[in-house]
Amino acid sequence: MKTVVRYLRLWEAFLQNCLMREMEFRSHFVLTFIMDILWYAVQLGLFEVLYLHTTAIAGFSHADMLVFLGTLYVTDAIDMVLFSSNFWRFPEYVRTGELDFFLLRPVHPAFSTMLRYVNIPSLANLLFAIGFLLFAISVHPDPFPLDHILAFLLFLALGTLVTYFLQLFFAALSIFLVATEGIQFVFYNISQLGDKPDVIYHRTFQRMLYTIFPLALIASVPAQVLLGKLTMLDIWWTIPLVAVLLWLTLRFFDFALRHYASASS
Amino acid sequence: MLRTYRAIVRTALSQSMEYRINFLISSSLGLIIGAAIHIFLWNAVYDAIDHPRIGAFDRKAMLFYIGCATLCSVLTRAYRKEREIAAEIRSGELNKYLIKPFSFFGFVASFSLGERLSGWAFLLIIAAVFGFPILYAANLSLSFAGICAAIPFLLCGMVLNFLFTLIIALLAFWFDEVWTFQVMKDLLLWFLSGQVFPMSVLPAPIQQIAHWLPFQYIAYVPATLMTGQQHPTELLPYFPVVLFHIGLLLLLAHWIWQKGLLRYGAFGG
Repeated sequence: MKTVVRYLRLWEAFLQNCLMREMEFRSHFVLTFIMDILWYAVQLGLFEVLYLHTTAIAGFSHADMLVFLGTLYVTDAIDMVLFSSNFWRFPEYVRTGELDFFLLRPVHPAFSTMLRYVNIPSLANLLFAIGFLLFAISVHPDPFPLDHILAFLLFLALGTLVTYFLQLFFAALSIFLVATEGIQFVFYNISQLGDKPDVIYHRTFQRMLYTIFPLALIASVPAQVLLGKLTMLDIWWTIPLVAVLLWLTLRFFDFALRHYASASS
Repeated sequence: MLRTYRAIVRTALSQSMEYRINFLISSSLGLIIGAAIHIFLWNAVYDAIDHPRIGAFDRKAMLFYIGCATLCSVLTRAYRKEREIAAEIRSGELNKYLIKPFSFFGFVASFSLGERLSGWAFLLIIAAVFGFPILYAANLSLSFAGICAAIPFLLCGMVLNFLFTLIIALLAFWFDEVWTFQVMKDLLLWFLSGQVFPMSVLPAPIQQIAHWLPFQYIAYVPATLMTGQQHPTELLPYFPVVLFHIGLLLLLAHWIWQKGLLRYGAFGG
């Protein structure tokens, strides 16, 4: 418990530091906010075009799809706030040797490297995304029972953990591949598979998205839990799976760090 | 002068080989995963409807179109050099071009051409390795006349994307960072170029507007030609339109460059 409080205090310090930095670059704040809103708009636009020609896609009505998109926006904004900017910096830490400074600090580098920079403009996007999700829920014709909402929050937290360990895994890979910015593009491209409901994919593909690359757990599963298309009984097994994958990723990250040779060597 | 630009193309070609693994990974994944996601998505739409066609597209034609449109958008995408200009303006590295006896626009265009030559070679190999077995299995064929007609439109699409990216990079004369503008441009192109849906599935008034915008030449027009959805003669009247767009963007880029140079301090920062 003491360790958790210490890490939370440290993250609060990171947040304050980032807030101060952000105040110096206000145009960055506005532009980043607009950029993410545009991403939301084109995702919504694509589905609006598709629903001009059909009333349902893989069992998702238009109203269901709005709930899915709201969930996607929220999970994306959480990723943007917490992990994304840190993940894009990681290969640069390896290439320049800046990772040395993270290794010297008395906190685990899996925490300090992946949570050091809080993306402040994305906090505004997170508020927008939550607003959109609430709107999608309010216009949905079916009611949302409390147990669905509680399960949704649980799987949203699980999805955030998945987002974290997938990026940590690719960050660890960059230690072996030194200076390959390509690793970020690999993750970026693969992660796009999670931007659509997993039910549109072929069965084999879908299984992969629940196990090897559990991208379905980020937005698709929480949305389906909220909509009542999946119950806890269907997917309880993903909870221990995420715990195991997180543990394995942390071990892999430590293993990679042992092979880190610093920039000068 | 031509000899100078040929040397720049050769230099870019050899430099781009240093980044070949990055390029190979990002392009092949962009092509394969990008196409796969939207093929699955459209397949799910066709599973849900009770009629066989959406506009002029049956299921097979739509999936074929999505594959070709993704290939076209990857072929016409922006490259490293035109994006790097923004950083060079901010750091003052632009000076090295200003003191040399060649046109800056000529240099950037030649360098980008060199990067694209190697990129296109990689991409066409990837497309052939994955594409031909799929075409054979699905009993589909590319239209030879369509491919010949698509090539000039693809080249125009490449020039358009190059100019969009360059114009945004030149805004670095005024803005501290322009990467957000580049991402916004990429998002707009993803949506408006016809990469994820053919423009003909849009409502008629939007289609009319889209026909006069430059975006459809990046994916929609070449892809419909390649798949034989449109006959080359149908799209011939659009060729002067795309040339007009290129001319307009060139003038705009030149005007921004002239205005930007007046602001440029040449000391970076």
